[in-house]
Amino acid sequence: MKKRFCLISAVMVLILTFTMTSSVYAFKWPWERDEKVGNVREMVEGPIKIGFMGNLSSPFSLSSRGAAQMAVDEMNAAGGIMGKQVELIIEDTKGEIPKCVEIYKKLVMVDKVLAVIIAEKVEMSAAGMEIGAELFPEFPHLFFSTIGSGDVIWHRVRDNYDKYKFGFQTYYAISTHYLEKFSGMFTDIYKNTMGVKKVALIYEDMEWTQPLRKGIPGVSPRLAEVYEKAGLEVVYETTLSLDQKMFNSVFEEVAASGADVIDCVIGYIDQASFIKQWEQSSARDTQWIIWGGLAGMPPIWKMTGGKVLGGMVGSSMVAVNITPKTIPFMVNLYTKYKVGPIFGSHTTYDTLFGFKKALETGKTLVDVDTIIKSLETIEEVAVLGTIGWNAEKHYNLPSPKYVTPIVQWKKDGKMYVIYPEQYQQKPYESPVNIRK
Amino acid sequence: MVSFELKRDRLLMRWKQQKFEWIIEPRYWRNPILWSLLLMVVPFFITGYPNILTMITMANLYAAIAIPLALQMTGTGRLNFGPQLYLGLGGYTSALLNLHMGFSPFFTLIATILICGGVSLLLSPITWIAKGLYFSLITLILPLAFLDLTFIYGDLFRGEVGLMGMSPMISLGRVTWNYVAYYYLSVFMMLIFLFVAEKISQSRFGITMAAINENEDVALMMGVNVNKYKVFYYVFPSIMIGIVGWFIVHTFRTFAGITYLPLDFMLKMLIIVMIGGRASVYGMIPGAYFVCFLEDSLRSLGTVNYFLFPIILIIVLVALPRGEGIYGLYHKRHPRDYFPVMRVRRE
Repeated sequence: MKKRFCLISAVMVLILTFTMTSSVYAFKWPWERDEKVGNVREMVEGPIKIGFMGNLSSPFSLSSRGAAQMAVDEMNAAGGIMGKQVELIIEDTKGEIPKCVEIYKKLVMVDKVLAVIIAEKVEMSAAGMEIGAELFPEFPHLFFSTIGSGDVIWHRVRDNYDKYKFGFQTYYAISTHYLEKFSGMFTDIYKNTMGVKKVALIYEDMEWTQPLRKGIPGVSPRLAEVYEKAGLEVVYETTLSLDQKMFNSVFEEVAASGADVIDCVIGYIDQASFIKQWEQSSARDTQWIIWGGLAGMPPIWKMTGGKVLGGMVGSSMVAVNITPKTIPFMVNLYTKYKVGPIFGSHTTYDTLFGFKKALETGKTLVDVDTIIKSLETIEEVAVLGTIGWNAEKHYNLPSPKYVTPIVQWKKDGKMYVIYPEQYQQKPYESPVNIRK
Repeated sequence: MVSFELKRDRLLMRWKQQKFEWIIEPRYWRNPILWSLLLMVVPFFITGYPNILTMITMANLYAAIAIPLALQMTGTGRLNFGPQLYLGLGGYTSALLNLHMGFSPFFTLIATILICGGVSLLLSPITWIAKGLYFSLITLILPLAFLDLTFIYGDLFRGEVGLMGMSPMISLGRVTWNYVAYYYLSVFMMLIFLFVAEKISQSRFGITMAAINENEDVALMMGVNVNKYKVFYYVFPSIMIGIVGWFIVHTFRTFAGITYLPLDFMLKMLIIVMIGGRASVYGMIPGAYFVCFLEDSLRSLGTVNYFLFPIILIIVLVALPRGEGIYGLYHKRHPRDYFPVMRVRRE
């Protein structure tokens, strides 16, 4: 026993000595590092690598993965970027921050990707961006968050540009834009399209609704205040918990308030239950508009047994010719990649083509500072309008550059665009009229 | 007067009426030394793979959560379904104090210990008033209630986005060095937790722990102050788990309750405890490594890993001897490799 112990100890000491010695040879003090000017990457042989990270058990990440693969396939079929083929490296974070951190390091440090796309919840993007900032000085790269409307990504860029300048956010709208752009859009719909005045506001208790619910002191007012200022009357306001399943009492209160329209600032709560309970409540004749989520996807019709009829929602899943890219994108994603174009897929696809244009405009694959400057200035035709990023804050150019159509569910079980007017497919009808 | 005495397998030190002893028998030290050495040399082989290093760092952190959890489960004789409450408390305490008050990691550590200690002390009476399913249900609800709070008080906790931008624990100038340093720190933390838990289980406290775990009423009849010990076994491991939260905050520099407070994170911890073997704190390390390596290697198989991972875990749980886990399996075949300790109920 003692002999074996001595033998194993000797082997371990040998291994330790060997590894210590080899690491000493490879060792460099910080001041011995090669000085470089700006954020220039080493020239990498082979294809341009792009990393894609998502929770591959969730529909939105799967849809985004399909869109990313489609964009890369289309680029490669057209000759790649600056004559180089593009390789997409897909990684599954399983929706866990520790995994997200682990994979981000792998993509940047081992795979040496030029850009990382995180197509999942905003907390993953926030975690990835923090690791990216740590890596950026030594491993210059770019980071894109293509799902998640929270303000946390662009706030970082605004507050500390030098540290976070590698990060860009692409989404239909971020929280601040919801207030700036969507409130104007909804006011227009309520006053001119629907001809109503009294609004009931229902929020979900999440970070993205916070600037709308509470406002940001000294920066932006509450949504209710914006509506009031625009001549609407907010008669009811409430906030729902994310795991709430019973909404009957809320709808009864809405009905009692005399609201003409229910403005639902929700995207993640159980929308199927929400809609079914609305249809059975005293508020069933009151129009609702949901800002986004499941209500804007085809399966909701079956899930609610058609009770979604008459409901209005912001949806990008309706085939309307916003740009020449819109319809082919939707058709190809369905037919070739077998996923639906749910939220995040458009933004991922458009981000990749914006990135391609930035590389071609900047005429570099290695100078990341030049690519960043290029991303700050370019504009490219996208699936939902025009893709481009704000030069100081790095969020994508909002509506009317990037469009989210407002649709209404009609009797044939399909969604039709009713707003903006230039894309309108069918006129607006109230729930009472549409049921007749 | 201090006197030393060399026995066959131990060194004795006597001072007045006190007696201290250290085991010096090589066979009892061989495995811990070999494994510790292995953990020390690992980074030299994988410096070029920071993702694997991060994965192993995370395995160390999981083990550092599972060790106090196993200690708590045995010491209170109850199954805690919400150890992540203290992970969340520790994490948010450190993150908030660092971001808003500018506390350095050292002071956030002290604050974490105080907050976790205070809250767990306040909640410790649940070990007196509830047991079995009731205790499990109470501990299950607490982290979920805290998660709701992180949404309700979104101004402070930033809801689903969480907090980010906390200061790093160390900064050595190069990211690879930082990651290697974080790895070593996680190893040290895990080994310190292991050492402390092992010392406790071999001490007088350990005997009370075994007694409480076996039968509270009998222990009470034998003169053990059961309530006092249960408070200790609830509070002390809770502080240790809180320290892991602090470590995560200053390592990943982001912290979101939505990742660490829900049920699935707790399930992973319980699986680590069961696979490692809840009868011994040593088992938590192979348990954590097994779960992390398995999860990471299956990830490359694509979406199939989502059902393969739980299926393999179920098979392993069924195949391993109940309560003994991976550690018990080895211990059974090599009983002479380990110093005989108090055996506690394994079911």
